[in-house]
Amino acid sequence: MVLVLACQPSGDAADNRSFAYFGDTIETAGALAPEALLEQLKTSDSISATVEATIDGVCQSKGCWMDLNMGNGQTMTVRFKDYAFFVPMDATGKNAVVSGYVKVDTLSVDWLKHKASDAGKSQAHIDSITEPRVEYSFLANGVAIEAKAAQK
Amino acid sequence: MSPRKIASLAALVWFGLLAACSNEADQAKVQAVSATEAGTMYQASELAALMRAMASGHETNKSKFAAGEWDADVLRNWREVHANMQSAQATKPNEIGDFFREKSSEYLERMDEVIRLVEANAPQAEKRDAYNSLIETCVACHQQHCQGPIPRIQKMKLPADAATGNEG
Repeated sequence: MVLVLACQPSGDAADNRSFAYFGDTIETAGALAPEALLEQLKTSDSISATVEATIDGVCQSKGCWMDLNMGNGQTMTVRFKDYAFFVPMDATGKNAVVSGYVKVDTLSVDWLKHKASDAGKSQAHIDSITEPRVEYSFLANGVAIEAKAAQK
Repeated sequence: MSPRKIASLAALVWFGLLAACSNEADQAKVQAVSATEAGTMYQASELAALMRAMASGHETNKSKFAAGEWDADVLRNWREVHANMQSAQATKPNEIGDFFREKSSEYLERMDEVIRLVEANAPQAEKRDAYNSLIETCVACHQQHCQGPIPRIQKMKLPADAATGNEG
């Protein structure tokens, strides 16, 4: 009796959503909020993590990278391990859970220009990129993108 | 055991089970849907599809080549199929220019060299170096056009210690 009651889904507290999975099928439960991830990165340059955040931009050529809104005015670029999977190109604004490895990375001028081009930025914007940028970079082995509220 | 101790033990078991099951319950209610329900997926262009097939071929055969098990028929077939990259429709056709044409020609020339070495039963180290030089043309081209797959392409190179094995 105790066992049965204890393992019932906890109603409103349960994650009652639907996700589309890309790459490895990852666990969405227990994902860190962006602030919590940034807090952990204060004491470590690189960690394995699962984080949930809003998608801020997606590669408009193939869906081969996406930016997550880190809630501090900055974004974090997420790339996909071994270029083995892509995400929907119109997923900007949706909630995503990503699982993998995050580290401080120096993004080269070539990569930043390529990324700006993929994001559909103007030639003037692309030409204005002349310096490498240091930011958090996430290599995901799996991504879950929220599709719509699951039926109760 | 006193009733108080029994009650304490029961409470401990109850909270333990709740903690153990909460994550399971959260995950259990998540519903998996198809990729298209999250948005519009990229449809591979002719060139992208060809390059995926090329990558798959290189990855599948890597361990055999590293062990010295070369197959000239496979390589000759690749040479014929991979030559289609010079005419296949690209994801961004406007980016296909002299640099791509130069690198794709270089790739095919280096493939010819690998085939020549395999047919001549050359030492494994020579075949390995020629093959890695072939893969390097892919890296050089992607540095200019699309950097995403570079880490994956780098893994296709044969390891330096693959200088032994069957010389056939």
